[in-house]
Amino acid sequence: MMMENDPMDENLKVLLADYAAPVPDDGFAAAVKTEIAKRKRLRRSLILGSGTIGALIAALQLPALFGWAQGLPKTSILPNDVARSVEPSMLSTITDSLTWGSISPIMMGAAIFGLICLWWAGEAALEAL
Amino acid sequence: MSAASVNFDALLRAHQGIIRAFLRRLCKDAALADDLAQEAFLIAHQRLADLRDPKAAKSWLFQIAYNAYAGHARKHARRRELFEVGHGVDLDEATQPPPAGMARDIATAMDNLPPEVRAVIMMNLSYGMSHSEVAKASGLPLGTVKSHIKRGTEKLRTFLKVYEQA
Repeated sequence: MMMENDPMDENLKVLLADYAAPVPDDGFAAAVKTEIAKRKRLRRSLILGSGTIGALIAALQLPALFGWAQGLPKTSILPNDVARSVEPSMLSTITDSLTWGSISPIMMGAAIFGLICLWWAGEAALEAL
Repeated sequence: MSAASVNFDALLRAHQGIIRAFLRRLCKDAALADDLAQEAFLIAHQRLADLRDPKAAKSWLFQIAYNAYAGHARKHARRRELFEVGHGVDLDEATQPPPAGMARDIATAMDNLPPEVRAVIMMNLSYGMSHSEVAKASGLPLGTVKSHIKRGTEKLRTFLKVYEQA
């Protein structure tokens, strides 16, 4: 085993200890702590900002959601005689409204997906900090 | 003592001196070394929960610091003047007391070693880390660490022998 009881090796150890002697603090620790506090503030701002944006996107979808909910039929299946009495022109109006109504859940899904993407991007950005 | 009870402030105060000295000797640029040390401590603060054994804090911090240095060296590989073997000592003289005689010459001999060899020798001989701790901190295989230390020490011993004979 090297470096055992050899005065030259002991001398080398002492010289190498001097070579890599610890550096005095000189405000370094305080600077690191300040930087940590700064990043914490930035992190909080990013979370708050992305939360606000997410809430706004969700709030913008609410009218469409209510509109879709109001357009829903009271009963799930129309009686046969009512269905037969519906004129073809009315039918197209109904299908149009159903198509528009069916967009709302898609929009909601897209908004949730967007929020997940925003959250993921925020997490990735914070990891990179 | 659990990982949660590891006090970052105490860790920072206890190890900032050796981490900065280590990086200064690797980078040969005091300002850059301090930037890398700050980056290393910020990473350490983020990953404090990963430190399961507080006794391993030193090698854990050296691992983060060495990775910060290696990452920077890779990113700035074109800026050879910072990392190239044999480049003159460019340390901030105000913060490093000027070595004299044999100490100055051994410093020059160390500075002439490749950075990887210099790093493992410092970790092992200057900071008293075991071979396995050095291997973990540097990310090098244990065999490579042992051969780096053996060859590097032999070079320094030869240098010392010549110096003493002179």
